[in-house]
Amino acid sequence: MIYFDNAATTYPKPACVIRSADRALYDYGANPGRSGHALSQRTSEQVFIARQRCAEFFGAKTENTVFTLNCTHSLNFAIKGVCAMYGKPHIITTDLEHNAVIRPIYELAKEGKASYSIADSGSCDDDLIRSVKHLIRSDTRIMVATAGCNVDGRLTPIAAIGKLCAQNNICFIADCAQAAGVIPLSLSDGINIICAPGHKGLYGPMGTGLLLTDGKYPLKSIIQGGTGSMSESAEQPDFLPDMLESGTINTPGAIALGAGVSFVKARGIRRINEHETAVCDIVLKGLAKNPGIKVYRRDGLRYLPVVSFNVYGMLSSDAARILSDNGFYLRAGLHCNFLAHRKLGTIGKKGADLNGSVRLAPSVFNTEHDAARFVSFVNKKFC
Amino acid sequence: MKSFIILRSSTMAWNAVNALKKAKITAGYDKISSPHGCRFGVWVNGDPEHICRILQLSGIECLDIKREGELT
Repeated sequence: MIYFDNAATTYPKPACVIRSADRALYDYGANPGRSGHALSQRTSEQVFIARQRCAEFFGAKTENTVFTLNCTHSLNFAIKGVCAMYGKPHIITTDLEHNAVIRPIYELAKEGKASYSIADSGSCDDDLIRSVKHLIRSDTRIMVATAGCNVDGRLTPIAAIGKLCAQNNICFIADCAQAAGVIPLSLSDGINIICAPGHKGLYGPMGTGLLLTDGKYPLKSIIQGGTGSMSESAEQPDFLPDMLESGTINTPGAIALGAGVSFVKARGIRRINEHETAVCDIVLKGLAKNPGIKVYRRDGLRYLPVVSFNVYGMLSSDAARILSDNGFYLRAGLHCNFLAHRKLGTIGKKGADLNGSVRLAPSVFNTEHDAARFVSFVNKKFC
Repeated sequence: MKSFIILRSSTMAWNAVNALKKAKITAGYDKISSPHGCRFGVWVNGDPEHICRILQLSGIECLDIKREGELT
């Protein structure tokens, strides 16, 4: 089996992450931040250590680092939470966004709580920046952009968008679902709120995510409940992380995510990126001469280590099924991102045209040999 | 005499433990139930006012100080 579906979730997980989750279940089984007994305190300390690791990794303060369930959860907290601080703000997003971004924004607009515009990413970074600039209005308060598109891996000019937002007092929320752990990302890059999953490039377990804020733009909580603090009051705490961490957190998940972040830090993001890029380069080079394959890459753009492709005359799901039957695990379909597929021309209006693409995404555990075996199979089977 | 420095949250209490460790001051994380509700904080042995000033330098705000025995 060769697993190339790491953009959906990384697998396998590093041994340190597995050990950490295991140890959390055995040794840190009490509820952190609720009880005062010794086991609760020890558990709470481990959660704090994990929080500290995540905070340092993204240049955030520990108290501004929130454990969530996944990146979608973080994005909903960020988008709806900041939106609630303003009276019907204008939101700008891009045509590369995952449904985790566009659906909350669309919902806010439908409820009359916000209006929004979608920037055209065009064919280069400058096109996107120009489009964002053009869309800024006096009531624009929020910008949400992916750091790297989950469909084809296209990178966006995060620092330039951040600068533009800072100049216009716009809260910049970055969807770092695909980029976290693969490219360096920090709140010092002009991002006000980073939303990241724990289970992808940070090698944590599924059911973990992060929201990290520089604290410049306050936000409201979209859910309320027990936090272990201010328990005498009906008011939700107005301070982080408690404000956004109602209910018991995924403690083994958070502790294991801390181990995942340490793993990435120890390997080095640059090394990880170089390795995964080398794996992708073998695939790109190997598929380039195959007339039966269409790869979605364009010159002049920067990409995450992801290869999105289709087999001519075949539904992406059929191609992925054949690959799966032969031991290659890749994701097919729309990847929860109809906007990016519209841009790539891989989505139609009728059911049969809703093809999407097949996506290959390596992790640090894939080898160049995996890539060579994949190329060899594809070029024999689909030519 | 031991004092309990009340802090805003569990995270801030752990931040305080770490900040005081750097200043070579031992502090114990705890959650106590006071007549006003549950509070997170740290137990310390030295002058709590002085310790709060050290915490302030790390951006940690002390909400209250309770001497041992004042909590009930």
